[in-house]
Amino acid sequence: MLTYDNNQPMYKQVIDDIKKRIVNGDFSHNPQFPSTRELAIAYGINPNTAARVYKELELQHICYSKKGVGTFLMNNLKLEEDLKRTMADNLLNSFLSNMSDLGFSKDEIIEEIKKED
Amino acid sequence: MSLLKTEKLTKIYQNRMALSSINLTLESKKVYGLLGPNGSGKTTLMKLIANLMQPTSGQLLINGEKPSVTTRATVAYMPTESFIYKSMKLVDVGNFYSDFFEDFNQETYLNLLDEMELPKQIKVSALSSGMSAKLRVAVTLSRKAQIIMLDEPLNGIDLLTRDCIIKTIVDNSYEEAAIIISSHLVELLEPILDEAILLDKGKIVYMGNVENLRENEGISVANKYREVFGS
Amino acid sequence: MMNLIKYELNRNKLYLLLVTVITLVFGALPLPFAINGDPELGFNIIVPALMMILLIYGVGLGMLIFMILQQREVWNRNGVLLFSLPVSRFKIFTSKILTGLLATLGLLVIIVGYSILYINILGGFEILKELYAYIPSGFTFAVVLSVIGEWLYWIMTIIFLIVLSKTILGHNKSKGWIIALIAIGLIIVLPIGVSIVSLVLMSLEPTVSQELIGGLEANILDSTSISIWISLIFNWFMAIGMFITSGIFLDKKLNI
Repeated sequence: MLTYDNNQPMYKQVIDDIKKRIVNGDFSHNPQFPSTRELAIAYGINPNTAARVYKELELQHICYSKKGVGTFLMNNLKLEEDLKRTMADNLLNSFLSNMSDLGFSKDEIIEEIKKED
Repeated sequence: MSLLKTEKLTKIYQNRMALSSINLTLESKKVYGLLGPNGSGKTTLMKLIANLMQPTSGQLLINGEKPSVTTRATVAYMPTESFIYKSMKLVDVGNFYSDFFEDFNQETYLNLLDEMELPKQIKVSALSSGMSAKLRVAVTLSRKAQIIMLDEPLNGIDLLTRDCIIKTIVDNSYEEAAIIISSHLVELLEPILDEAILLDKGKIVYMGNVENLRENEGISVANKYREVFGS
Repeated sequence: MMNLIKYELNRNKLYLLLVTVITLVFGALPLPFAINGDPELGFNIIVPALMMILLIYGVGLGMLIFMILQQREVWNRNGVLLFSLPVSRFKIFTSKILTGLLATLGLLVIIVGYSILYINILGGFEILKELYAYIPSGFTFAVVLSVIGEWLYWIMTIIFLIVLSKTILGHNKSKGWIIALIAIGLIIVLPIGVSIVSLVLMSLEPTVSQELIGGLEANILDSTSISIWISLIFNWFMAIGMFITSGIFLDKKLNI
């Protein structure tokens, strides 16, 4: 089960986790998401938060819901790629801004990354 | 009409003010965390809702009705102490509940006993404190009540039992119900809450949606709790 | 309500079984006296008679304690379970009292059974006529009064508990207090009053002992006065018991 940072909205943390799973291809064979209740149980959150997760994912055009059937991954070939791109960009941006806060220049950061192998 | 509504609800014991002019509206399909230090009025509020006590002044309405024998049929209350007859076997407890509560589901109860690894033929008196806590949760959640109240379900039990109880609450809570859980252990409870109600000395000092709290103020319920109660 | 009584009986079955066994055993103890006791000294009659009287009072006292414990239980942890049930408080109290009465009745049947057995062993109902002839009228009256006192006590207890539970628990504060005080007063005054009247009647018959002839009569006299003393003490017990019960009722947990 996910370890939560209680200072961040629960639904955002679950969304991030689901996005990671989408990128890893967890839903490539079966595009149907678990029901709200199943999601709540799996993530140990309450059903209203689980419902909100799907609502947000719909707003972000990552999934769609069919009345009475369930929630499905959007049928979009580029979706996984796009998600991966956006998440990577976010991580990179925050990494870069944190490093520059510490006084590293872009070149120094590249040097640091190379050292890390 | 809201499921539960209080207006200036006040309860005074002898000379001590337990609840002071509480205004509260609770809706179904939500999980409420009733949080606050000892003596802040959590149990008193629950007992008033359960019709185990009468308010000193103010009003409390459940589906527009004053608490009575009738409302007790739709309110499930789990007190902190072990309140179930010690001489009963766990199966008998199920029979007792189904004899008195129409909303009690015997099947759910027996499944929960299995899930929680509680032997059915054992007597209540033979249970350890952790097992007894599990039993209380199981029997309370087996009712499809409109209001389900759990008073300190995580107190005095080990880590694994706590996990088991939290999981059971998420898995088995009747979806249509308003669930009210009181606890000191704010961190453990946080992920399953919709709304947090912070009580201090009989007054509501904070009430709000926990996700909004995280989103707007960037803090957890536990940190809000520290902010409110910490010096 | 039947459900409640069913559970009350079931939960207390061990206690009730124990009391039944004790009653059965003690009731059988005077059998050797009834059969072999010396009729000259009257032991064949006195011992069984005393034992029956003791049993009646013992059962009464046992059941009183049982009932007090039953009502007491309402206010401890299990009270939460009972009062969370969608059953009115009135029904809860009444079912507990009925449980106690039901158990008492069962034991009384045993005692009456033994009495009939002893009367038969001792030569049929003729023995009662003989006994009755020996007892002076003042004593008879005192004993009868005492017995009536016990019954009144029982009736008052029931009324007291019903009225108290219905009125005070109905949260009518001032009315509840007045009725409770009257009920408590009556319950304390009534049995004590009856006992005092019994004692006064006894002292009004100073010539009684002179009129008696032989050992048998004297013995019966003794057993009668003993029974009156027991009755007096028992009435005090009841008064104290009612004090405790009313104290419990008016406990802060009652939430009035």
